[in-house]
Amino acid sequence: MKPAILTLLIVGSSLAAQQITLVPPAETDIPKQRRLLEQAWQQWEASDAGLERSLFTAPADRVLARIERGRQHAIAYHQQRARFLESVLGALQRELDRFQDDDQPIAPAWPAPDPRKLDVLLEEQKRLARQARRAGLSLLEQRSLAEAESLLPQLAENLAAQQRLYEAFKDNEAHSRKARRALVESYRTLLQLLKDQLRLNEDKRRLWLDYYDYLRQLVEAGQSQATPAKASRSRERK
Amino acid sequence: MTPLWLTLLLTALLAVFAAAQNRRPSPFGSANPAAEPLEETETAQPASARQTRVATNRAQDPFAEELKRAFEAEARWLALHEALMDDLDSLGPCGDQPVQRIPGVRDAAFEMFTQRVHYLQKHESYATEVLNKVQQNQTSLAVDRGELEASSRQIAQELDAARRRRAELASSLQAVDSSEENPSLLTLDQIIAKLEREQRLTEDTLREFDQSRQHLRAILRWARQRQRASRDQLELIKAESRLWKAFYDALALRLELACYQQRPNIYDFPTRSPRELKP
Repeated sequence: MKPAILTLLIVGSSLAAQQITLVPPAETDIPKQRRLLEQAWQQWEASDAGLERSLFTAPADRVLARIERGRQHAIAYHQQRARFLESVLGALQRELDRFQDDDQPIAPAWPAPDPRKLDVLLEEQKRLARQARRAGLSLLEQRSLAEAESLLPQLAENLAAQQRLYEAFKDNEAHSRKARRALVESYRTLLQLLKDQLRLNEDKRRLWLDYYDYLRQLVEAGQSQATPAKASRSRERK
Repeated sequence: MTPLWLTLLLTALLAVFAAAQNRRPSPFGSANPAAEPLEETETAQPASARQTRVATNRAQDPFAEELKRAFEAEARWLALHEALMDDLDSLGPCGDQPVQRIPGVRDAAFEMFTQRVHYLQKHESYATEVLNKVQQNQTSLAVDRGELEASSRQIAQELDAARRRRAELASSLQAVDSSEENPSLLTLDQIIAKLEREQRLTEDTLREFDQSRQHLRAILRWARQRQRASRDQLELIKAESRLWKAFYDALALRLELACYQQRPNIYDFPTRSPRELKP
C-alpha cells in the first residue's frame, strides 16, 4: 500500500512541477457549449409544455410555480446560447487573427525571361542560314549546321514556356491576394453577424422575462377576481 | 524487501522521466511560460550581419540583391555572347581567338544559370513554406459547419415554439374574454419578430461561412499552383542551361570542323609502298 501511495505522490509532484494543465484548448469548447445549449432548450421546453393552454384552467399556485420555473429555464437557455455564440465568436476571431498575422515572408520576385535571348536566337538562325547557303560544305559541316539549327527551336520553345509560366504566376499572385483579402472580409462579416445574434439573444432574454412577468400578472389578476366572487357567492347563500 | 526495491527503482525512473519532461514543452502549454532562449545563431553572428538583419525592412524585397546579381550575370553573358557571334564572321575559324573565347562565354552562361537556379530554388522553398502554412492554417480551423447548422435549427425550433405559445395563449385569453391587446401577447409578437430576424441572421451566417471556406480552398489552390509553377520554372531553367551548353559545344565543334576543312592536305598517302613503286 505504502509504495503505491509513494508512487502516486511522486507522479503528482512531477506533474505539478511541470505545471501541466489538463484543460483542453478553447477550440474544443464549441461542441460542448452546443450540447449544453440543446440540453437547456429541452429543459425549458419540457418545463413550459402546455403552460399557456392551462393558464386559467389549472390551479393558480401550480401555474405560478410553473411560470417561475419557466422563467428560470428561459434565463438559463439564453445564457447558454450567449456562451455558445461567444465560443464560436472567439474561435472565429482567433482564426481571423491568425490569417491577419499570417506574416508571409516577402515573395521573391519572379523574373521574366530576357527578351534579348530571343534576339540572339533570331540572329543565330540567320547566321546559320547564311552558312548553310555557302557552297562546298562537307557532309560533316552540313550535319553540324543542321544539329545547331535544331537546337534553336528548342531554346525558343523553352523561353516561350518560361514566359507562359511568368504570366500564369502573375495571374496566380493576383488571384491569391484577392482570395486572402476576401477571406478576411468574410471573417469580419461572420463576426459581425454573430455579434448581431448575441445582441438579439440579449433582447430576447429581456422580452421573455417581461413575458413571464405578464403571465404572472394575468394569473394573479384572475386569482384576485376569483376570490371576491367566491366570497360574494357564499354571502348570497347565507 | 522486494516492494521497497521496486519503489526505489520506480522513483529513480520517474525522476529521470520528470527531468526529461522539463526539457520538453508540454503539449498543453504552461501556465507560466518560461522566456524563450535566444537563438544561438543570433549571438554567433558577426555584428555586420546582425546589423543587416535588423535594418531589413518588411517592405523591402530580401531577394532583391540576389536577383540583381543574377541579372548582372545574365547581362554579362549576353554581352559576351553577342560580341563573340559578331566577331565569328569576321575572324577566321582557325585563329586562336574564337576557339579560346567560347569557353569564356560558356562559363559566363554557366555562372548565370547557377545563380538563376539558386534563386529559383529559394522561390520554390518559399512556395513550399507558404503552402505548408496555408495547409496548417486550414487543418486547425475550430468552427465546424455542423455547429452553425445546429444553431440555425435551434432558432427554428425556438420560433416554432413561440408561435405555438402565441396561438395557445390567444385561445386561453379568448376563453376568459380578455382582449387581443394583452401585453403578454404583444410581447410574444415582439419575441417572434426577433426570432424571425435571428433566423435570417443564422442563415446569413451559414452562407458567409460557406463563402469563407470557398476563399480558403481558393487560397490553398493558388498556393499549390504557385509551388508547381516554381518547380516547373526551375526545371525549365535547368533545361535551358543544358540547351545552351549543347549550343556552345556544337559551335566549338563547327569551328574546329571549318578550320580542318580549310587546312591544306598535309600528305597524300600512296596506296602502295614507295619501295614497290621504285623501278
